[in-house]
Amino acid sequence: MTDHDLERKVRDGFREALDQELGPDPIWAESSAARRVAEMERRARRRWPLRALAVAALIGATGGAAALLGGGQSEVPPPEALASAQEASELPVLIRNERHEAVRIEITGRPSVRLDDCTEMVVELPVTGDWSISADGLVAYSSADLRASGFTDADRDNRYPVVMLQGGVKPVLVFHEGGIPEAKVIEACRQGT
Amino acid sequence: MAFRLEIADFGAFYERTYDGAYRTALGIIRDPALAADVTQDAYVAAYKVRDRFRGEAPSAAWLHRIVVNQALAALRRRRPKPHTSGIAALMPRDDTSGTITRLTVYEALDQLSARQRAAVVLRYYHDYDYARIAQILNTTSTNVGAMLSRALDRLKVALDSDQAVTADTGAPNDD
Repeated sequence: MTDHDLERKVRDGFREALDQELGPDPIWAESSAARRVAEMERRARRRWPLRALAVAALIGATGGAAALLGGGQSEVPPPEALASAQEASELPVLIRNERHEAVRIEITGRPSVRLDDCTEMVVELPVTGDWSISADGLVAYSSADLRASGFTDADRDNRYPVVMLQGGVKPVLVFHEGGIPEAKVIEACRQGT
Repeated sequence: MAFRLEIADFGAFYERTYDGAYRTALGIIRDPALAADVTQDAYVAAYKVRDRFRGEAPSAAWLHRIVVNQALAALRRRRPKPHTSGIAALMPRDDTSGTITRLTVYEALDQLSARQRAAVVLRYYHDYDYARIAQILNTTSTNVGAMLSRALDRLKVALDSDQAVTADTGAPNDD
């Protein structure tokens, strides 16, 4: 048998053999891939309110922590740093103070932090630890919510429980004992056009 | 960019390409149940990275690269597990509707390494050229040529021995 004959034989044989094989999930709507994709999309949509509050948490942390913890002792950057914020990714730690059992922070609306001018800001809040956040006393989110949503620390590489500030939100962020998070700015405040 | 539209409707893309993807996985993995799972994993992976598909190559080739990677990864995870059952065991020896039997094809595939099976399926089932196969397998065209040459040598032995069997048993032989 020549190489050409062999190749022809292999090609014909493989085509005939494999063409008879039919997979069990030819319909997209009935496939497990479709269900998994739908779940991914659903989780992505659920992240939006978390994003809004996470950004609010950042603002709260920067605005309030200085007042509560004493500006000289905290590692909170000045609000101006967020307002300009092009280099915000260089601000890895916003709050780290393990001595406080709980820190309650409210947005105070400092003129230098013009929330309404920000259309988007990306911040990472940890899944681990124990913290909660509420906006105008309405809905509370917490690290437990994130975990319940399926976020894990392993997700951090490609999914942040983060982003999107809606102007005018006045959130309250509470860090519980042992749960002082490290909030990391991933992307700067973007100002609307 | 021309091929980006092919995946715009992902559900339609799935249904249009599913058979080819499943057969690619099956040819490499040789276990129908695992091949079906790997195919699903591949589509989920493809969906996640669909924004990165630049559309410079046909979407099927892009998908097959993902399927091949998923299949090889699945085999690495479950190693070692020699294939002794599955499709081949279910097929009668005298299934001779073509040039060579399905059983012969699968037994011949079993003689190859996973990467060789991938190269053979991509070359002789999908008709990809060496450059495309090299891209999919993340190697060079020269290596693909060498891989296919070694694979053909092994397949020749397997096919020759099958012909001897069919001759002994009086089964039809097209040579």
